Formats: sequence, C-alpha cells, structure tokens
Amino acid sequence: MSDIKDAQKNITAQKRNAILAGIISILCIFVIAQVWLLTAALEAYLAGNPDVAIPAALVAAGCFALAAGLLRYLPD
Amino acid sequence: MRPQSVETPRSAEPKWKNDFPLDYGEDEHVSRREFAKFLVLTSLGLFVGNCWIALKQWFGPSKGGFPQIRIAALDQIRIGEMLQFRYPDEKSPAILIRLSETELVAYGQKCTHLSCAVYWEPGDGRIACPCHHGFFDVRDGHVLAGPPPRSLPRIPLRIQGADIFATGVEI
Repeated sequence: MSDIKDAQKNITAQKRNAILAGIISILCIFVIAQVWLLTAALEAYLAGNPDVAIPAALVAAGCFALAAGLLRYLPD
Repeated sequence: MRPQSVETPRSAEPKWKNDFPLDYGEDEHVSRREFAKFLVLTSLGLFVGNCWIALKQWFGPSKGGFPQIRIAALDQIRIGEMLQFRYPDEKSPAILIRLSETELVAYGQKCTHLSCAVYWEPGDGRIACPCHHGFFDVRDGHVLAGPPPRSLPRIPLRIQGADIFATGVEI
C-alpha cells in the first residue's frame, strides 16, 4: 500500500488526473450495475420469484467490496 | 472599458469575513476525491438495499406458509357481489367475489401498479383500479389493460360446509 502511495507521489499531475478519472469511471460502472441488480431483485421479489434476491445480494456485496477497495488507490 | 476592481485589504474587511474566510464558491465545491467517496457510499446503500430484499425473501411469509382463515359464510355473499376481508394479516386487504352459485374467487386488493385499492365491476366482468385505469380479469387476475405490471395475487379458497376459508396467497 505504501509502495503505491510512494509511486503516486512521483507521477505527473496529468497521470494523477488519468488515475482519478479512471477510478471514478469504474465506480460509476459499479453503481450502475448495483442499481440494475437492486431493481431486478425487487421486481423478482414482488413477482414471487425466490431465486434472484440472494445471488443479487452477493454480487452487490462484491461490487461494494471492489468499490471500497478502489478507494485505497485514490491519489492524494 | 470596465474599471479594474481594487481589492480591499484583509484588515479593512468586516470582522465576520475574517471569521468565515471561505468564498461561497469554495463552500459549494466538491472535489473529485469527495465525489469518488460519495460513489462508494452510494454503492454501500445499494448493497444494503439488496441485503434487505434478500432478508425479506428469506424470512418472508411464504417460507412459513399461510394461515387458514374463515372469511365468511356462503350465504353472506350473493352472486355478483364483492366482499372485503383481510388476509393473510390485518395489513393486507383482499376481496372475495362470487361469480356463480359454485364459483368464488379472491384476490389481494392492492393494485400491482401503485397499491391503490381495486374493486369489482360486475357489469364488465373485470376488476378495476380507479387510480390509473388498470383492469384485471376476474377469472384469474391477469392484467387486461393499463399500467399494472403483474397479475393480482390470487387467494385460493376452500369451502367447508357453509363457510368459506382462505388458504394461501399465489403471486
């Protein structure tokens, strides 16, 4: 972790911008995927289909874990 | 040509400006780091929402089965009439409709669109939602017209002697 932070100190502002934009783009993709998962799970729950809610929750957990993990790579 | 503005020296500014030295624009500013953190917070909220649905699914009433509850006596409802009752709990309104001497149907009364109370239209042979003009078939509860996305939940009935019992909910 400290290696990444040390390496990030030596990069140019342009590269830091690119990293930040890339992280925000990936986070947006995760959030959009989770909105879709939540909608699908709610629709399936209301329709009485029991097979969707738990897999959707697991995938949402994965998305959140990856998103939270990406925060560590945010440049200062 | 516009005159050039002359900046007031800090010491000449009123005291409150020194106490709160942030510009309005700076106060409203959201950095990209803050935005990224907000996205992660949104992700957490969506994850919690998914967990809530999974828990509702896991501990919902369908896992434990439905109670068998007496709704009414057969002679309380005449052919073509509708009777309101609550099933499977006090928060769930439902309707019982007698179509013929031997044919009775029951459905949850909340429209599958936005939960308005539906009612039986004897003349048209359909169940109507007054809010957005959704219509359901009285025979099986499927959507005939309008915005509802799903059929009405059907309540299976059992007739025992002179009494009518609700036995479950089929979504």
